[in-house]
Amino acid sequence: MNKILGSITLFYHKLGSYPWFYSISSKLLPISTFLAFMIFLLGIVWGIFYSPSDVTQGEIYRIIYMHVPAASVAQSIYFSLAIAGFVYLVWKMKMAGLFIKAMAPIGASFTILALVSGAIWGQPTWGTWWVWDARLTSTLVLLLFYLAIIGLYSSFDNKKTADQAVSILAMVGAVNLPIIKKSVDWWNTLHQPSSIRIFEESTISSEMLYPLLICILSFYLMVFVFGLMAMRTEIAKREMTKDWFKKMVKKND
Amino acid sequence: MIELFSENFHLLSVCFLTIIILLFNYIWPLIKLNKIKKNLKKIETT
Repeated sequence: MNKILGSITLFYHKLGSYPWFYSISSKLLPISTFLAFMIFLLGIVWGIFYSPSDVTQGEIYRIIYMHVPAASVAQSIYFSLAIAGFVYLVWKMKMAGLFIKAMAPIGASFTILALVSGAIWGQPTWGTWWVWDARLTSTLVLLLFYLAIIGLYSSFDNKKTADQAVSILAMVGAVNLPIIKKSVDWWNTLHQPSSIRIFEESTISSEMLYPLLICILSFYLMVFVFGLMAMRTEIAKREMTKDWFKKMVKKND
Repeated sequence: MIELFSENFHLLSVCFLTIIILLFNYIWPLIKLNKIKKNLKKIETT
């Protein structure tokens, strides 16, 4: 038990080091990029070309293979920002502040994808691009939180103050996450309840569910890749005058 | 494939949007990182 705790503590301390992270991420990037791309290709080709048509919606339902993974990662990224905010405020881990700065634009882009793909799907199925129902509105609020984090960070010259401010905002915004999740149960919404359930049987056919799960997995892998890349760029911005970074650049890392 | 997309402009537009967002998230940090490295190399040589 002590050994496990010791290795976790060691990993935590290593994670706080910019040179260690920059070096390990350059080793992780090629394999994770390849994996993410191949799994995405498998899921999207299976979902769009080989899964059966929906009885009521026809072919238009295939938007699900992009809409649901995008919405899922958008919420998960925000959850990770809230955890990073907590870590930064409690333990002053500088990597946590950098994580929030790097991941917020990625989260915002996936929220935009979820909102726009939902609107495009809603037009032929609901007869409208947008309704102010609980699920759609709370997801819009999620996007506003992402934009607020991006805006707030850039409004400070001092990086430490900026990290502190966005950490607080990231934690405050986490209140919105259970609202998004439960909005379809708590209120009468035009948006359908979730089809994938963990503790009960899913309401979606397994022929449609498997490619959807693969697409969701691939989106998470892609977020991992994008996150590594964005954090490397942010480290480069902050450490470009340091010797270790100059050495890395000389080695073409 | 052509039939599926030509009859479903909505699906096609979501596919395009997804590809654009994925490419943007991949290419944008690469461009920024390379710019920083290039600037650093320039400073080092001068």
